Amino acid sequence: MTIDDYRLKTNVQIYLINTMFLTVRKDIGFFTKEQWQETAMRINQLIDLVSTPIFGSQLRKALDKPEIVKEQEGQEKEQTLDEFMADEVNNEEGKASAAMLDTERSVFPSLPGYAERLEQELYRAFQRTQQGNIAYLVRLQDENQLLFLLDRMLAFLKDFD
Amino acid sequence: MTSNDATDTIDSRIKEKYAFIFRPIEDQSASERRYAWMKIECMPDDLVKLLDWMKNKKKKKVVNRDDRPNRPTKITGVGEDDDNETVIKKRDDLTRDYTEAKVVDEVIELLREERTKGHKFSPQYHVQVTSLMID
Repeated sequence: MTIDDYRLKTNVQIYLINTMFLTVRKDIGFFTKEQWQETAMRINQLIDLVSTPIFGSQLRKALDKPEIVKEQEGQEKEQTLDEFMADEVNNEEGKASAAMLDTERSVFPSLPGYAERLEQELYRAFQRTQQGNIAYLVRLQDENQLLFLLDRMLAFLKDFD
Repeated sequence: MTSNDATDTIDSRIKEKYAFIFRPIEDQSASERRYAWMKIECMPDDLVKLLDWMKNKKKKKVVNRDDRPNRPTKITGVGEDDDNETVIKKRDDLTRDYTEAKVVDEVIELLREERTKGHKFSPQYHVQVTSLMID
């Protein structure tokens, strides 16, 4: 698989997860166990995908680029990611590379967002399920799954500071 | 005499005799207007002939209207000319082969556009298609 394939797959995966959060049934108001588990599984797949060495190096490239520019130009002022992107969009070459690294950059804000939404959905499910109900006890298992997923996510993000 | 016997031409004397038929009803006298309620069997032969001739003339006019050039297009039925048939665009996202990156790119762009517009956007369908792409 080339880096373009990884990029495309990541793009599709992110789109899929975003859309999955929109499939909440209005009559129930929260994710069913199956929906929740499938979404968690897809997020796990996304972490697997972005943790591969090839994609990891691209992620580092996307994050490290501001520092490289700073060293090259000898600027004392530290350039933020937003400033860097704004500068980059100004020139023609920058436009292409900015577009190329868009997928990589979208991974970092997406992952914590997914974790928050998964947690919200589980919380809503607990709120709307009867405590004495067997469904409530079954749903409690999801909490464990969420913790494992968060651990993985945290470990991945720590790698990139 | 039947309507089949009606000829393309009519004697001008008959036309003159029944000239009131060609006038608007407001201009006809009471006795002339009474012909409207008369049974065809009770009418004089020449009048029946005239009426048949008028009927045929009307039919011919309609045919001519259809044959004129640049007429508006008609909706065609089954077995007729296919030029004017409506083509219904059918989505085949669930049966497409997603092994090629180009196809995936194309479909994902289409889905994104659909989602942004919000028109006919079904999250369930989008999930189905994207799952298929990944799997």
